[in-house]
Amino acid sequence: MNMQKIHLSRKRIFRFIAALFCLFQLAAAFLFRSTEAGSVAASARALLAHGGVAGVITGVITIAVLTGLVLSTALLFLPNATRFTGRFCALFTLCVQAAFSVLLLLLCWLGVGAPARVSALFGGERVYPANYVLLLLSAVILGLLFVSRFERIAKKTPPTIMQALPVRLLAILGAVLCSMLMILLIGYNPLAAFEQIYKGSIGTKNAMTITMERSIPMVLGTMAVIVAFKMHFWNVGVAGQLTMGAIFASFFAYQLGNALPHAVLIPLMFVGGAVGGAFWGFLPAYAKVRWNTSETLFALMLNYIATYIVQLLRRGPWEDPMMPSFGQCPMFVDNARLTKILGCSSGWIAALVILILVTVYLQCTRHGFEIRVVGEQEKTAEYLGVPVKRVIVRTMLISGAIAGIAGMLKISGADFKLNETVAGDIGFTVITVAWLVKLNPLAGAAVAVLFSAMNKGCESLSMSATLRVNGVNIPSASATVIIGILLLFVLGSEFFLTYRIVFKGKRITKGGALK
Amino acid sequence: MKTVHASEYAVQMKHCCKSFGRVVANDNVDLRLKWGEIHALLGENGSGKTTLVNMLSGIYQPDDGEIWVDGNQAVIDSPKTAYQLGIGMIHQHFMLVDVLSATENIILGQKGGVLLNRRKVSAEICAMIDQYGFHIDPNRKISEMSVSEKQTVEIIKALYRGAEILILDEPTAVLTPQETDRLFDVLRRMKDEGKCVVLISHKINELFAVADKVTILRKGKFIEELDMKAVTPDQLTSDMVGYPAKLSLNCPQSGEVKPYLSVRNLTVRGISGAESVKNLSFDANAGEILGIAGIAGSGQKELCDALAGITVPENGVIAAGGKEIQGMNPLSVYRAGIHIAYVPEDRLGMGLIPSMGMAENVMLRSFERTGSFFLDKKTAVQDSARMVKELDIATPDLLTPVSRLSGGNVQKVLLEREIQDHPQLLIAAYPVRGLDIGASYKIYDMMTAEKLRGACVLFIGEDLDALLGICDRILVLCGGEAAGYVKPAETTKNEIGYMMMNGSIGKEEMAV
Repeated sequence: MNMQKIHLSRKRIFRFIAALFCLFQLAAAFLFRSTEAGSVAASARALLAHGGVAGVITGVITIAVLTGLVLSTALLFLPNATRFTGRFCALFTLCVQAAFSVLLLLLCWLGVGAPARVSALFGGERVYPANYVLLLLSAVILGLLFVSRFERIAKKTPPTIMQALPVRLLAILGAVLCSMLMILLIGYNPLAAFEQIYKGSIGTKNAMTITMERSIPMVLGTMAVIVAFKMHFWNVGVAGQLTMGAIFASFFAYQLGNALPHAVLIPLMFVGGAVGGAFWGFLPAYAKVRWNTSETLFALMLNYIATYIVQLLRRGPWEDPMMPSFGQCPMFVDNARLTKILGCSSGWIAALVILILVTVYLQCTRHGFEIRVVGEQEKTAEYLGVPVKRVIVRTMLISGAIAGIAGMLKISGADFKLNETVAGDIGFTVITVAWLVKLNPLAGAAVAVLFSAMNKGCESLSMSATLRVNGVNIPSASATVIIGILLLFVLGSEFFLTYRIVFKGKRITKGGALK
Repeated sequence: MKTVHASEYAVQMKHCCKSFGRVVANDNVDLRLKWGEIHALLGENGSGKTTLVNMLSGIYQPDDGEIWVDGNQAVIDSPKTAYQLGIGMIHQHFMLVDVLSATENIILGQKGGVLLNRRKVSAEICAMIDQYGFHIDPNRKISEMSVSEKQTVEIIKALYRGAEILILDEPTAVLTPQETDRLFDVLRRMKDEGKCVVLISHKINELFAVADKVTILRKGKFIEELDMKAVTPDQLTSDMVGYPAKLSLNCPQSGEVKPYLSVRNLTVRGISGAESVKNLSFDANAGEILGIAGIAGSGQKELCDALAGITVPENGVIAAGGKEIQGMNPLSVYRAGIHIAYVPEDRLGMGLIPSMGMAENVMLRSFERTGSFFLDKKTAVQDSARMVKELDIATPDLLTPVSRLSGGNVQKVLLEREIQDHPQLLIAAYPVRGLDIGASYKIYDMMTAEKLRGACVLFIGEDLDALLGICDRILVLCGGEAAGYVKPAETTKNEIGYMMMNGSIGKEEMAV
């Protein structure tokens, strides 16, 4: 028999490792139950016992998984294994993970219970550590495969909005699946979790109202960011401008709360909010124009100053006389609160009007074009005679004013009291929103509302009664993680829309011949 | 000392293709370069010459086709690989560090020991300078060198890294006639050494001086490879543009010639703070084209920016149409009734906004001048649609960013936008740089048309043939000062070249 000398190359070593991995999975499937394949087999048993549609699906998946494992292992050891098998194996091991997760989801759907109970099916053995290890290993192998076949990235022609839609939707789907996997891995029912997110955001009337209320400052904050960012003036001081607007508006509420009629007080507070925010926006703009300071740092520092001014006020001159030494501002009198329409404060009218004004301003007016020209290429602005310094200051006044109005609407529509938490996370979330929508005002408003809904929904997760295992609620941090995963996927999808990954591979010549 | 090569061909590019999205830059192009030959690559802008050599120098990778270097197939995936294969490229825009000396630039990024053996390196470089007959001092800082000296440093850099195949991209664009001759001597010496030199150019008469073979590209396709000894200039021009072309420059006389622009004692500081324009005084007339010649860095940019109102001069008076306009913002100048059009050297960096489409770029000039609060996008769209038709601009649509357009089309848009308002003064800085022949002559025609309409035209150019061809008078600048006026009919390229390098030769008077 002619024994061919085995040529030891990187490819072959890789394939050998992958084969060992598959063998291990296979053996574990039959010998040990606390592995992927073992869990597949065990959960398969449980589902088959249930019967019905789930049973059939389970049967199919189980057979496919186990067959695939056997096949890929065998193929890898053949001396003339092609390139194809290496890829097949690595992808397949990842599919085993996916299959396992699908099966667990099916179990949850059937109400067999949260995965903690699933482990009870396996005789109480800890299923999960093996999960993590194998998940990691298969990711590493897939990564190695990717790296070995990767040649370069090439820029794509930017896709239109319709062409980009499938990628975006896929990103959201991926985020949802990844979040579900995360929830599964910490031992909770992912389907119940998403149901709760829906209920908590727009499911009930109360939730819907709160979501709408919260989206008002979000929408306005996004507008403020868009106006400034279009000029490439990185206004990260929106939080401070919002706070300043709230301070100025509170001044009128606290000093003249009962002295003026409602119809005069509210517009006065509105103007106060705008002036406060505009002033806070003017400072970094002037410094930039006059001394070429960094607008980012300047505006950022002003955020803190605004917060501390609030602290100063609430512990000092504006302290609630009813509760001395508590250091809190009093609540607004009814006269200073915005009237509610359909349960939500009437601030949304202002938000809508400002949204329209901003869209028209940026798209159709001379000022809007000046903002774009100064932002895109300052040299051209100078060449044309556009008054660059004037445009910068004017735009920041507007941006700050809008943020200030957001602050005023928040405290007189929802908070009803001045506190340094008035800006909260809004200041930085709106920057993400604006960036996501590429500074398009209408899309920005839509995404801002979606974000508010998402935030509200995820918040309610840790308070839900259905998401309990052993009497312990799902940790509140999971909300932040879910939003983070969503952002990661959506922002990451940008990469796939801008670049195309070129793998080493066959080159097809014009005549169709393979090289 | 000739090195022994494996094959008689230094480089063979076979059926190379390269596309950028929908644009096909190279379509099945063949290039055969022999050792010991100066090979010219001729083609209009947009014909794909730069893309082709960028594939050789490792900046791009071909989508299809093969590259063979000295008989072996090669995959050039980065400029580093290209250098390892002995391919060196001298770009139009130099990649030198101004604050370092020539020697330091040459050895920058090279592999070597931890300690720098300066003496050894200096000796090697000096030996190379003697060998090729360069005229530079390797210890001088780049910032103190002239453009042609910087180009020489780039060439030495490539040679020092062992380049046997040298690619020069439009090297003579920035050189005076004398410097061009010196460069050609160097190239001939390299050819004698057995090196392969690729010369990308569009100046046909220069190719006759130095090239052996020429490969012609047109619109991305390979047309033919010809022997320079067997062709005529007209034949080359026709092959390059694709139709029988007899292009000539003429200077028709305008009926009315009146004084319009008067500059006295103008002093302008450049970005570095030094005086770029020193006490300059000259006059320009409406109905005439005044050419401004000078080597790069003689103060042309600062002069143009000051005339256009972008920079405030330190000193001096600029009077246009009887009004003093120095230091006035461009919009104020317009509102004072003086209409100035400025086509800057930096087209996409100053004159246009690259990410905006054609319609928006056309709107750039008018949106401030109309004084209305709301934008008139409709007029801009109509104007740009008209421009596309009249000037034969190739663009997918009016929303495509102008950065995607070819250089010639970009310039047509820019110039047409500027002269739309029928300006009284047109300042055109290097308007045909990087443009193909067809577009260049169109630009010359447009400028001449403006002159005949009664505008005062300033043409800052580097191609002395063009200046001599269409200008009524030429002002020569040297070091920020006026070296004198010349009349095209009474002067030669060499005389202008001399004045550009050495300033006033005492013969010419400053008066008109």
